[in-house]
Amino acid sequence: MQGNHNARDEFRTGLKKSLPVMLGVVPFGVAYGILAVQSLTIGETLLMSVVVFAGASQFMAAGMFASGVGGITIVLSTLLINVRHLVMGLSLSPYLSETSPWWQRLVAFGMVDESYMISITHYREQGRPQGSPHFLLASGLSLYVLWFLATLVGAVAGASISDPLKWGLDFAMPATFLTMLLPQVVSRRQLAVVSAAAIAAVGAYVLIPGKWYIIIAVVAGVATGIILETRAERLAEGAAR
Amino acid sequence: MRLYQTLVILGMGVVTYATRVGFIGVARQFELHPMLRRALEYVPVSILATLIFPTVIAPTGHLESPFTNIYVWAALFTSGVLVTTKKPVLAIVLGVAGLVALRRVTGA
Repeated sequence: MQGNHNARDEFRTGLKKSLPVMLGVVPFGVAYGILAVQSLTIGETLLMSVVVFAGASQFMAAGMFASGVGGITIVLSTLLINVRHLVMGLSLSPYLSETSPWWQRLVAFGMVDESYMISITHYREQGRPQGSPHFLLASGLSLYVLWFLATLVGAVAGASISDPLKWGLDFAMPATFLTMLLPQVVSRRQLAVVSAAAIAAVGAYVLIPGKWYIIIAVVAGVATGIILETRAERLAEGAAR
Repeated sequence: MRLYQTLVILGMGVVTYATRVGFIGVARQFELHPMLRRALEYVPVSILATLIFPTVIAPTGHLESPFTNIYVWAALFTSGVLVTTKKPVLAIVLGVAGLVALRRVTGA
């Protein structure tokens, strides 16, 4: 296993690599705070950021509380939106297979879209069979603190700001993810995977109510990748013969 | 804090943590099938696609003409800045500023 020095280095790198995405998290958190205090108290608004720590589902819940939707529906919808975490955890698991279960449970709490993306990219770039849990910890922890502070600002300012959308805050998140996606589209196969996932995501988003589009698009993207990879291997085998 | 709202929020926290911790330890307990490992290679870009395209192409939940959809133009602008400058932070800031400007101009 790694020594303390390496752990500290990985923690520091995790903080550093999380800086760019903080730009997208802050406005998102502020916008959530503004929206949530319309129907929740400041304490409840902050509690949600502390125990849930998942932007999309917090937004949805704030809207549902405002329109008087029942608690069970809110909890089940949260589960449905966050089912994607299962796939994210599964894709990180080979890199954390030598990490102790206690550490896995700790760093899992900080696995949000952004910290997952940063960590999986980092682990792949390193090219080692194991990734450092300290990297994911640093990324998750820094985003957690920032998410709480942004929520606090939004909740306190909520009364005086009426429409956060006017400031383009709704675009900060997709713009951040876009800057993470583009550098990864380096081959025709990756382009095909992204296209398939994008078409499936938009199609399902428009046609199917609820949040199924996330899972449908991931299945479409993965299936496209596997099919193209298998076909390329067959062609290579044929050429070798 | 009110009891009902607090309980619902705690319930949200429990189910969310369950989804995070659910599979993160799978590879410690089982050897992952090589096919599954390969499939997982394509998960990150697919998830990124789901986080970007629906909000950009169908921001209201319905398909709109891409020519009048300011999110599409802002996304193209963001991509253009990223490709030319290679600076993600700059691309995000200019992209959001671009969207605000477009919203002013079109009144959308």
